[in-house]
Amino acid sequence: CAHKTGANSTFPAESQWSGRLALKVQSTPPQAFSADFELGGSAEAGQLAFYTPLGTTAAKLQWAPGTATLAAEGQIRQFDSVEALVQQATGAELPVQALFDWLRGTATPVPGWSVDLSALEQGRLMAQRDDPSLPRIELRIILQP
Amino acid sequence: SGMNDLESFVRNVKSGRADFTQVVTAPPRDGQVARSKTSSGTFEFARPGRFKFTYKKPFEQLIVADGQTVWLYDVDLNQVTARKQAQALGSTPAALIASSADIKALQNDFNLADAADQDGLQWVLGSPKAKDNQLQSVRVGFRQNQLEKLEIVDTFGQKSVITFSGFQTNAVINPELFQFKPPAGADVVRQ
Repeated sequence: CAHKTGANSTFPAESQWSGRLALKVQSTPPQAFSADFELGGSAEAGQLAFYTPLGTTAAKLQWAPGTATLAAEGQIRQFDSVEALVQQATGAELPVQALFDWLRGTATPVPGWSVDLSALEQGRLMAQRDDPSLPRIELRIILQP
Repeated sequence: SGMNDLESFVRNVKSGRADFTQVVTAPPRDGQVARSKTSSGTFEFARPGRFKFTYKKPFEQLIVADGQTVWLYDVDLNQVTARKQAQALGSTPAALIASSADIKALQNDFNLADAADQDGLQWVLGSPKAKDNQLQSVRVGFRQNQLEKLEIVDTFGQKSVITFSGFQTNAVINPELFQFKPPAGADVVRQ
């Protein structure tokens, strides 16, 4: 089976996750994103990499206080927040701070969002933004053993 | 040589089927052991332009190229993404094996050259011409002019090695195999 991998061995094991995620944004036109991923660190400082099924890196996101960079398609771009960085890479405004809490099993509430951690033991996380004034977002994560 | 093998493969092998194992190794990080992920499944193709990777382990995913569109279907996530084949395919490694009718078509997207023999295989090194590309290099390995390995290194140093076995060349393949119909209820999004 898949060898347990970490996004970056410099992150402690409990702040590393890998698996697959799917995103759907009901904007016009609708946006969708799905990829294998490896995530490490925290909302303050971390790294997120997206991979294609064939194993190549589609994008590498890195952030720390004062810097947030996206390396993709042969160029590196700076952003002023990890939220802006993640939105550029995935097309969805994700609550990054809360996402780290959710992955650790804490259902931190986020206005306009609902999260389902009932199957987190089986490595499944689902969250959606159902704020009527904003396009609906559906996030599904499957963590790899 | 690798180039002769690739040329004869592209010219003579019009379709094929094989099992594959894929090992993806992240670039080693300052002295740590490089981590790797293994997956496996079956691969089918029919020139020009149609191929299918059916990933079975550790989870089910499909990549299907029908000649116009490349479909990616993740079974657990029940999501399908579809991309124009011309955009998605030109510089992807699968083009080196499956899609081009002749080697010149390949050379629009890759600089191709013989590479040194290694592990008992004859190799061709392909470097993508497109600059904004995610790929650094693709190597194709032949054992006694039979395709065995595809090695993809991306610009972050991540290496994916696909090893084919049980290769049936010019296998009769039902063309419907390359027609992807999104399952009912799956989210389908065109990018």
